[in-house]
Amino acid sequence: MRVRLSFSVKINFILGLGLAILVAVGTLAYRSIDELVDASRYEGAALIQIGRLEAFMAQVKRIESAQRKYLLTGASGDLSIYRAARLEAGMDIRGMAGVVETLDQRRILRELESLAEERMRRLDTTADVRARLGLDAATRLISASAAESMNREMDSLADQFRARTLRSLRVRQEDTTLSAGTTGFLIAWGIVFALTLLVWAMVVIHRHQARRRAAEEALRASETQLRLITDAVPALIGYADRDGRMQFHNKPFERWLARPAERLHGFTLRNLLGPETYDRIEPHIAHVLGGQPAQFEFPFSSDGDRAAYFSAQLVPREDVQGRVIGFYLLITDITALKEVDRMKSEFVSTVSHELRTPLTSIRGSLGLIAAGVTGALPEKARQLVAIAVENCERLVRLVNDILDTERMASGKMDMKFEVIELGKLVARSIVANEGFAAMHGARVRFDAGQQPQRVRVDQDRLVQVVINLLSNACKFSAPGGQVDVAIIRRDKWARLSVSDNGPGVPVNFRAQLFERFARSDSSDARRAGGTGLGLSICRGIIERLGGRIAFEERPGGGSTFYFEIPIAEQA
Amino acid sequence: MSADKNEELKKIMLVEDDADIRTVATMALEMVGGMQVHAFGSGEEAIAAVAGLAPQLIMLDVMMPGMNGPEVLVRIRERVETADIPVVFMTAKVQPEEVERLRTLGVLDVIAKPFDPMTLPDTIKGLWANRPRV
Repeated sequence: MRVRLSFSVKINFILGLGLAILVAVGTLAYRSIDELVDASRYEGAALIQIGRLEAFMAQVKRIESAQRKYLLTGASGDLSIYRAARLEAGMDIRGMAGVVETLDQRRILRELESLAEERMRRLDTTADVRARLGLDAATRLISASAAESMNREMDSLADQFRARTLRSLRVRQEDTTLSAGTTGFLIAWGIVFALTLLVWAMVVIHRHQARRRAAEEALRASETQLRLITDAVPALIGYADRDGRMQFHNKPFERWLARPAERLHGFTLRNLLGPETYDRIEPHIAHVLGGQPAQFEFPFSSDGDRAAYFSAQLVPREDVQGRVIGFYLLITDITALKEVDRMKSEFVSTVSHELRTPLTSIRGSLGLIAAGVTGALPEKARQLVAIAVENCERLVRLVNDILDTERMASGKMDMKFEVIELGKLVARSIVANEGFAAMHGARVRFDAGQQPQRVRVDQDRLVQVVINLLSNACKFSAPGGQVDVAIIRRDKWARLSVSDNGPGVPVNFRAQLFERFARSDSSDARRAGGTGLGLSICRGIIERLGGRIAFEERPGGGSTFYFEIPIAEQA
Repeated sequence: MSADKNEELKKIMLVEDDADIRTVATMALEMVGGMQVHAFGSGEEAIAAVAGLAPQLIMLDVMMPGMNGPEVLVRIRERVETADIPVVFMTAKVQPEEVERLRTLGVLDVIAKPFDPMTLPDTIKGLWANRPRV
């Protein structure tokens, strides 16, 4: 697998390597220069040594000559010249000892100095004999002092010192030359390597810049495309920061607010929407800044004339630490939908009203005929009128249920909440359903439980649910069957169950039981005279009351429908 | 108006623009309930006749061409001789908020259409019996 290193890794590697090479070459160059300086210093010191040695040896010769002259003349002036030369020779040999390098050279100098001192001492003795005993005595002493052999030995030592110094100098020069060559070689390669790194770095930078340009180009193209898309979307898309300042918006936003981009970007929503609209939506903004998405509808008119309705969705944006730093806005104009919704509601309401008017006449007429108010009917006619009455009732229920379903779907079913005792409400519902139960030959048994359960509900709507469950149970019970109604408390919930001993709910129908127009089959609906909307309405009401409704099989046959609603908090 | 608590309800004014409903309601109230019904097809006719007729109770349809039920009610309440006659609305608009709105206009109750003709007389008599006394 080929690993692609990032630009920063590559550049850091190249810079690090280059720096290391620079340090290495610099160190080598410094050491090489240091060695050359040392070598130069050493060469100078060595030449000075040799020069001093030569001067010393010449001085010895001059002292000896001065002494010989004094021996021959015996003049006091020559003696003074001799003594002055002696003092000078002793100083030079001590100064030379400070610049010698090797032990061998030090040894030679010590021996030379000893010999020179001995030689000087003998010269002094001879000069002293000349002064006290005369030339002959001095001449005899010179013959016995082996002066010539001492001179040769001193010359030999001087030659040794000179040769060793020159050899040491040559070795040093050779080492320095080799070291300088090696250093030069390494510096040259270092420079070559550094140049290679430089070229590499330039290639890497060039490629990186090319890639970055391509990426920027792609980003611009993508941004342009995104901008085109967001501008073309028939919705307002925007982003606002935590302070509610617009940081992004699409063209429809500008048209909506009738503002150019420069008078929109950076402005607060309060400024853009006005305080009245903003105060209305502020709780939703607080909600989204709390980290939760928000969805709501609101009226707004940018020109102060045309009333329009909008649906807004706010989605929080979080940073890597999970803090909300702003929110996205998606706003759509739902004025037309609202109008359609209003027309639909109006249509349903009108149809409902228009259906009820003829139904009133039909039902009323049939009711009077069936009751014998207009005279006794033949048996066949009585049966037919009974069928007509029953189906008229069914049509009335259907109209009612359609109206309720539409109101629930459009969110217009208002609830008037009050705290009541559930058992009393259920008992009242059972009484209201007595006639229906008797018609189906069903007996209703009610167990209200040991403790009264208080719930916060809309009484009329809950009665509607209970009667619906009761009438269903009566309809589907076997003739002479029993319907059991019971209230129990389950934790913080009051549960009402209505059980029958009917055929139960077919397995393949259970999933759609609470859906609109749900029917196990058409014959079933006809037999029971239902509209297919009752349980759907029941679910809608119970959910509005904060509860849930469900169904379960009854052991031994039949069904149990139940709902659970919250127990009211104690005042 | 008489305030006799035990006074029997005998004379009713029915205002309903739909002739069929008018007929059915009249038959139900008369043949089942044994009451005397004076039926009118519009609010204007009813207003013209109400003072002279002096019904014990008025059943008033809400939606009618011309003057609707609430407008007729206002006119009835404006006249001293008819101001205290109990009124019951009949309506096919049974949305709870609509019914609630009608109740706040000062009527005994609102009867939803379609009604059961056999129980209608008892319903009306019950409302009459429990009417607030003047």
